[in-house]
Order: sequence, then structure tokens, then C-alpha cells
Amino acid sequence: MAVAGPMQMDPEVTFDKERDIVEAWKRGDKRAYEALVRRYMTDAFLVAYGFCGNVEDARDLSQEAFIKAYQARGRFDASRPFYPWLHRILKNHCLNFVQRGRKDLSIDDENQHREFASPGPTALESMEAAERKRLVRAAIARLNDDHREIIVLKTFRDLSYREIAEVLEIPIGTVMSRLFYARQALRAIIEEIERTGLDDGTGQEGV
Amino acid sequence: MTCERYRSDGMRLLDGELTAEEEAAYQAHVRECDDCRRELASLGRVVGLVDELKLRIPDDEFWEGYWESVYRRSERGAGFILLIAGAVALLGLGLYRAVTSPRFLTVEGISIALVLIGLAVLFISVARERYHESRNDPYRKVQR
Repeated sequence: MAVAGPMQMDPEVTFDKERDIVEAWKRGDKRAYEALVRRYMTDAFLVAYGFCGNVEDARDLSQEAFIKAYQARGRFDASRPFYPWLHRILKNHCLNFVQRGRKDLSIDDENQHREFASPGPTALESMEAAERKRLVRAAIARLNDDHREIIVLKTFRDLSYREIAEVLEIPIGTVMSRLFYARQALRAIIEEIERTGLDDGTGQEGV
Repeated sequence: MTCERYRSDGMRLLDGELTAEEEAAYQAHVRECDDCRRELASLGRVVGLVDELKLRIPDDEFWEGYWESVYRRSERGAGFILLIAGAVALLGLGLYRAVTSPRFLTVEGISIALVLIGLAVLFISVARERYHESRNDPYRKVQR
């Protein structure tokens, strides 16, 4: 992905360099703002997609999270890493969006070509895959917020336990136990949906 | 008790988080333990199902205009607030001048005053709505 402008950042940018950029961003430097957006837009988009299940909404939600962060930049402590803060804004924004029911959580048909499907499936296989995805999406939507968040980070960002710990700012042991219980809960919900169908048991997992 | 020791190892195996030594120990246990083997298969199915939802990272075309849109909309937020503040000030001034004008008690004077009051009410309503939204905004508490 091309990154333009003099504030270009190496993907392996060190924290000190990022801090310089964040401080410039806090002062309203447009180039620093651009550098931050370009650095984290893919991560933010994938997380948003994990929460909402729709490419266009995910693009909008991730952009809106950057705007919210920009508006709240005065409250951000530049000595801390930027992405965990942005992630919290994004997560709240996505959960609000989903809870307001602005969109159904089903997978939009038009983006199926973007997913990791095997090439050249038959029509029947495609239908079965779409139904399976709808089921799993519905199951994820019924997880509590913490469980949904960690499933999103693990699946859609493909982060390691250590990376998840950094984003959520929690110990790695908590990551493992939270992910473990999230998957247990997800398995139970999937099995329930398989037994009763998608229209039944719409309640959210207990927090 | 042995199974309890390997409780989270199945998940860590699927996530590629076991060391070679841990993996060898876990595989040896699973070969002997039907319960853990079933648990691993069941968890593997869940992970596989969720992984089917993964997206490819969109290509460059998808990102065209992404940053520009973020920047425009960020600017608009500040511009909107300034616009409302300026409009309310101008409307207030216009209203004051209309009311204090010797021609106020004419049809034209009263009409102009009503238009200005209506506009002021609309602007204040929009400003109040935005303020209310921001007060109820869950991310306003997101800070360090």
C-alpha cells in the first residue's frame, strides 16, 4: 500500500517515532494525521468488518473512528501507544452501530469474492457456504462484547496472543482464558442454532 | 487431572501458539485420550467455521480516497460548529436590530423578525442535538 507525504512511516516504526507523529497529530498537523490514518486504516477496517460483517459499513465505521479520535485528540496521552486507544473508540462505535440495528449481520453477497473461499465452488457449495457464514455471523453476534471483540481480533486481524494483549492492554494469560471461553461460548451458540434454527434463541450470551 | 493440564493446549495448538516441546507433549496426550481428541476436533470445527468469514485485505483501489474522506469529514466537524456559532450570532444581531428599528412595527419588520427567530430556533435546535449526541457518546469517556 502506497503511503504518501513526508511523514511516511515504516511498517516497523518504533514507538518513539510513532510518539513524535502522535504529538504532531495532536497539534493538528495534517501530515501526521495522514500518516496515522494510512498506518492503521487496514487494521481498523478489518476490525470493523469483524464487528459488522459488511465491507461498505466497515469502511465507514473505520473512517468515523478516525474522525472521533481526531475530535478527542486533546484527551489522548501521547506517551501511550496510539492503536489501543483507537481500537477502543472503534470497538464502541461498531458495537453502537450493530446494536442500533442499522444493518443486518449477514454477509453481504457482493463481497463474497473477497473472502478466503476455495476457487470455483459449485452453486450448491456456494449456497451452503453462505448459509454457514450466516449461521456463524449470527452466533458471533450473540457473544458478549468482550468475547466478540477477542474473536474479531483473533480471526479478522489474525493477531497472535501477544499482539492481542498489546491491543487490549491486558495480560497474555487473560487473552488466552478470554479466547478460550469465547470459543466455548461460540461453540455452544453454534450448536444451539444448528438445533433450533437461526430464528430461535436470539438472546445474547450472558456477560 | 492430566486432561485439565492440557485444557487450553488444544486451542493454542490450533492458533500456532505452542512451542515444539509443548506440542509434542500435547500430541502424545491426545493420542491416548479420547476426550481430548474429541475436544480438539470440536474446537477445530469452530475455529474453521469462523475462519471462513475472513476477508482478504482489499486492494489499492479500495483505499483510494480513504484518507481524503477522513480528512474532509474531520474538517467538516469543526467547520460545522463554527458555522452554527457564527450564524446564531448574526441572527441574534439581526434580530436585535430589527426589534430596535423604528420600522419594526410594520409588516416587513415583523416578517423579517419572524424569519430570523425561526432560523435562530433551527440553528439552536441543531446545535443542541449535536451537543446532546456528544454528551451521550460512549467514546467521550475513552481517554487516558
